Amino acid sequence: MDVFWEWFRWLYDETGINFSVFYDPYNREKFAAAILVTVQIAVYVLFITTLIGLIGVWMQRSRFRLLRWFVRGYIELFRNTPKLVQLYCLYFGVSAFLPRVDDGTGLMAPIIGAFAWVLLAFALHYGAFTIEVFRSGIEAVPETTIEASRALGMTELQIYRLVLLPLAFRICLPALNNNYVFVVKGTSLAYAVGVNEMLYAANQIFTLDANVPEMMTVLLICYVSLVTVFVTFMNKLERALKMPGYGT
Amino acid sequence: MFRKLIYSSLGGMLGLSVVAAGLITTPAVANDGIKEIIERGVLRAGVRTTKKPFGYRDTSGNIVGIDPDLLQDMADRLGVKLEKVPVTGSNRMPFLQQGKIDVFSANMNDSLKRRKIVGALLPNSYAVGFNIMALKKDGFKKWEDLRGHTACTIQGSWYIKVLDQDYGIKAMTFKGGAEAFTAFEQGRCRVRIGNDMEIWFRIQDNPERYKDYEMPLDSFGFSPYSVAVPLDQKDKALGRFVAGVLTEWHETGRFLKQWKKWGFPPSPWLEEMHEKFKDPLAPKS
Repeated sequence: MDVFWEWFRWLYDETGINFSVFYDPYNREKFAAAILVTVQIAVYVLFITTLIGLIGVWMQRSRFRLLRWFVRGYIELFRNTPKLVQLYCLYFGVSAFLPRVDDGTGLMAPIIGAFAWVLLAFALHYGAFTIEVFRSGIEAVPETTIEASRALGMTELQIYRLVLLPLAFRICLPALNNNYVFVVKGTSLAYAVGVNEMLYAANQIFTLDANVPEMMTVLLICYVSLVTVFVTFMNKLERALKMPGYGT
Repeated sequence: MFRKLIYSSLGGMLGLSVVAAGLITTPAVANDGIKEIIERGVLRAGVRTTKKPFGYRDTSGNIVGIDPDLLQDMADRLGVKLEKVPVTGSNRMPFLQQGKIDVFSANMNDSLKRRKIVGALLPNSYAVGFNIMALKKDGFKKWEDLRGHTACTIQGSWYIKVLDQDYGIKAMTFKGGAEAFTAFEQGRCRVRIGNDMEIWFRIQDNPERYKDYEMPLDSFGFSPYSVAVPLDQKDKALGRFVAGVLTEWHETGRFLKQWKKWGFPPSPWLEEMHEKFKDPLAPKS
């Protein structure tokens, strides 16, 4: 493996193309850790947004006006404001009113750390979109199908669980895919509050080694790879869930 | 007829070559810049008006600070009046190039790139280093005390790796200074690492807000600042004159004195320059 890394040092000496992220062990470790953090953010946020989407769309269709208004307000607020502003609002604004606790080194730190705020902010932001995506799927299920289910004596929950959701999920999968790709790409914004993800680590490296073009290339390839892996998985899922004779 | 033509063209060539030789050998006017200033009776000097206390407006609107002090000394030595021209970080170099000012001492970081555009002079005037803002109760005395602690700072700071590798300080970086200060004050990190001037004057200017904070360490990683004249004047009388005044200020300790007068933090960099330039034959006091 060392030979592989050292090849990049040779490349630098010979051509001036500086991939210090590979041959410098310090940079390499930092960047590897950052990739892991990016993946973690992405996975957690994907999970939470999906949850928010499911609960949100259920509340949106609730009989209680208050619940519907609440979801409407939430969507308008989080869909119509920039993600960075939301993150700053939570991290610098809301955080100032929360209690502080000793972090173990004697520092009185805010109770919610940067990483947790990032998860929360991103999940709330993309959650708003996810609700709308699920809604589009649900509204595309023909009313007659629901009526048929009711006629068969199914309860509302049964209809939701056994008829509506399975159909709606398949219909909205392409749009959901889109939304999820945004989630994976959007992790880069975490660098604004000092979370050590890929863009953050790349920034540290290219500041010192003045190799912006090289680091940007590495960054690009990393994001493309991440998204490709994810999209491949989602496409597999789409194919597995395909119902013969339904849709195109 | 033919011979006449040859002679005349020969003569012409001779004449041309004399002119050409004249262009090469005649010494360029080396004192034009300084002569113009003396004839005008005014030294037009670029200064900052928002960089307290390098150059800023006092309550009565006058531009004061250590930069105006230095430029005033130059004008006095030339026997001319000083005209302080307000400049900003983005127009100070164009102003010199366009001949709107003769010299500036305007809080400019020295760099090789800038030296290609303006005649930035040596010795450097003063320097800014890095230090920490910390809670007094933490009692940090040296950089080693910070091992294992977190520090809020600005993205792209060159010292992040050094601090991590040499002292085990974990940086948490933000887009700008305001965010880094806010994060620090909210307890996101143990200390705020940054420009020592910024930290020092932030504490000085807001004594109530920062009564529990201090800047306790020796600054490190100094980046020097420059006084500049137009590029073509750098090695002529004007440039040498300005460089001479700068040298004298270091030699006699005048920089240190003015530095103290304006309430700057202690500067190991200025002390070192004074040691370097001081008169080795001066009687010990």
